[in-house]
Amino acid sequence: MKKFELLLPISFFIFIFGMLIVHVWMPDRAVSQMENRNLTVLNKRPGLEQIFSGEYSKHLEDYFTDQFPKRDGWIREYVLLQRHMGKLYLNDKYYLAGDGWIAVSPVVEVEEEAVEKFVDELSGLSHDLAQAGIPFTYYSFPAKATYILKAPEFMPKDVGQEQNRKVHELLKERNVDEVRLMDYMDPSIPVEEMYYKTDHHWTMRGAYAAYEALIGTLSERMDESLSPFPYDERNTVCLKNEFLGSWNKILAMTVENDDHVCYNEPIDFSEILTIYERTATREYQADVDKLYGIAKTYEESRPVEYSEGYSRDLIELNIYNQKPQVDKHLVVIKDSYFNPIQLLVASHFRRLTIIDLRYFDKPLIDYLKEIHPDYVLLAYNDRNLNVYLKNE
Amino acid sequence: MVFSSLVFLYLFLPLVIIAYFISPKYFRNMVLLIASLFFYAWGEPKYVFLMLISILVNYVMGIVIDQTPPSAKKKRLLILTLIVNIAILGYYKYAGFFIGIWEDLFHVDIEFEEVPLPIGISFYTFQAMSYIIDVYRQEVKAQRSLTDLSLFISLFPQLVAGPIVRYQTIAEQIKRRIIKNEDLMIGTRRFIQGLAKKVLIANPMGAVADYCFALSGDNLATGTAWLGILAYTLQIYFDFSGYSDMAIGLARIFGFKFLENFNYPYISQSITEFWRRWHISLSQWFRDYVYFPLGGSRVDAQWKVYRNLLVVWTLTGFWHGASWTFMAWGFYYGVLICLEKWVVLKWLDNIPRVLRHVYVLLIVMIGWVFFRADDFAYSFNYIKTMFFLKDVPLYDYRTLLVLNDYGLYYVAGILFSIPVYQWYAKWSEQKAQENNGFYVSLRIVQTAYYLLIVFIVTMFLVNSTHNPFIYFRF
Repeated sequence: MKKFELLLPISFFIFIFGMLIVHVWMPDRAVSQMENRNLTVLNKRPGLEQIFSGEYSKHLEDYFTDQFPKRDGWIREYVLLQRHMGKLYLNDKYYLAGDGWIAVSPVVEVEEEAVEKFVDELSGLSHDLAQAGIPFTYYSFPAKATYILKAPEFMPKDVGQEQNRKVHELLKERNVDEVRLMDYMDPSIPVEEMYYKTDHHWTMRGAYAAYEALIGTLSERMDESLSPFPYDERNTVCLKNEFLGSWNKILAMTVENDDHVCYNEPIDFSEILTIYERTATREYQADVDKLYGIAKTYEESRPVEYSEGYSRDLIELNIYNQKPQVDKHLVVIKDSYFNPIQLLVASHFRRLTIIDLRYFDKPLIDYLKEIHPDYVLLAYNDRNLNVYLKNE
Repeated sequence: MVFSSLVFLYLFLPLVIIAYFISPKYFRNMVLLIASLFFYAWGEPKYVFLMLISILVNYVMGIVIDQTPPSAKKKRLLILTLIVNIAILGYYKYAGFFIGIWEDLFHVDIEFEEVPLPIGISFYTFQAMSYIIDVYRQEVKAQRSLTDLSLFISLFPQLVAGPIVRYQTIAEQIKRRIIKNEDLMIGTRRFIQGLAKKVLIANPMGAVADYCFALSGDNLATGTAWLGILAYTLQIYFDFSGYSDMAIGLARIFGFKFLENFNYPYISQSITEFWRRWHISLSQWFRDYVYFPLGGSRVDAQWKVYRNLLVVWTLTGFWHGASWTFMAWGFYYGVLICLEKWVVLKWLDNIPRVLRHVYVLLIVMIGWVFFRADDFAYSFNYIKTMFFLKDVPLYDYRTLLVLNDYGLYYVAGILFSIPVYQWYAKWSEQKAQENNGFYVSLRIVQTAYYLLIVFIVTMFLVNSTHNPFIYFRF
């Protein structure tokens, strides 16, 4: 009978040793799509300094954890366990509403310091550009977190809209031109149609409404007769591929949804636009289809994320238009909310330069003075209170 | 390296178990020593040399003291060795604190670069000192094998967070030990229990405590303050006792039998009893090596007993960290234990048992506020909020959210803070001895149950890449 005492220790040992064997046997992954990051790959030749400083053991620990067998599966089980336990905010942040929407926990107090800093940075940018004779406008795009206000009943209301208004008030006081785009967007469109249920971005419908409002407001500012292509539902084409929403990925794709990447293209952009992408090392002419909507070329079985559906965030794009509405050069400093509409916007101007300051590698003001555009926009979603200006 | 990490559980542990059990018996201590040094060097490789120096000093001085006949010289040798040990600990743990006091007192600036605290230095220094004192008292013979003494001080299960093992407890086991099937079963079970305590209860409760203690002013409702301190009360117990369980379990797998370090402290009915159940190895260390040498309770005047208690408890607080709040926390317990010794224990005997529990839990939770908070001002504000002395609501959305999202963890924490599982284990093992069918079923069910726990723990660990233990820096 005593042999039964070995049942647990032997089973335990087989389990932990078995996992080790599987770990060694399984090939390493370079990237985790679920976590949206590179996974640690084993450094097989550490230096003595790395070993003695403890850096290498930290590296090994990261490697072992990152490459742990079936890592995504374990994370998925963890999320499901939280759901079964009735947790309202999964991973302490994500609220899963009954109708399949994923929302984040509300911001309950205006982030005064962040607002002040953001306004300071925008004022500085506006001032520097004004000195160079380049007009500037800050556009806030309505973010999903600010307008999809789904939360348990007892939770306080999100202050995102209040915070956004405060940013605009302060900018107005400092004579910085600003547009709160939500005020100009078609109010008949329900906000539920404007956003993905499982991603933090807007849908093509929301983005298109923003494009119409953007062109309308720019037309006044540039004193040009710009008119957007009116929205036509018949132009909408959706991919059947499963959508990898950013918040759903964080929840290990445990939330069933009917989100899909859609396009609404009133014209064939490739006929009039020529795109140049500048990377850290070179600038080259890129195919329109490769920079925008690469997911259109995917098999239906391949899941698609927002960046593949529309465009990745790139250092700098220059889009030239053979048939512009106005002979102007527009610079848009943007975040990922701008990606679905970049070709739509480009189709109005002679040249559109798109800069993503999170990756941009040149002193911004000097560069703008050098290319001297007719107009500069900074268009960020309203939750984004960081200009990402580097010390220049 | 921490026990509750994937790299320990799925890399270090299986490899050490294999190396240990395939090695010939004479080489097993060496295997454990190499594993222990590797375990220690994992996080902070350079400090392994500091530990080796400490071991070497205590090894040589142990032999010298052992060979010296009782005399003033022997005492001087003991004092010298203790000073070296305390100096090492003092430099790394307390130098910054004392320099700060000196600067404040004399308004001077002293150039001193704070050095990182070597992991587990408080634990292994106290073990080394207990060895030296026991040798001096001739309670044990000095260890002649450097490998064996090194193993005593650096044995990885207890190296970084205790329990503080006294040399006489395992002196014989270092020389020879027999590992029975039962040891492997009990050790594995204990290790998994500790792992679950740490990962499934202490960590989630820690997240709640961090959340609540980060709130201040009007943001902290009374209900949230109570949930916060209850979370911390559970976190610190399950964190520390979980670590002790893992240490005791791992040691048992390798044939060592450590003494218990926790015995359900939250069921105590007095503070004196609480400290007989909480971090037992530390309390006993201070009792044997500080309280008794000061005279303990065998002194000619009652005030000296209180003085001795206050000294011991203030030092206990100071052992936990170099700050005034830790000292105040220790002093707080010193005062309470003096009061209990004086009159309170008699009062407690006359009140219903449930009130005695309430008394202990309140005192302990208030103590944890000082332990957890960064400064006195925050501690007092927090306590005011707890006791309705601040104009804040009884509860708000944070209270409801914590209750909803962490309610089950609280229930589990409270349930396992009382010896429910112990009662069940005792009952089932007794029944298993009487009934063979039950015995077999029990072992099968236990195996499935513990493997399920390992599975769930792994799930939690994969989600967590940063997982420090509270007691690591002590």
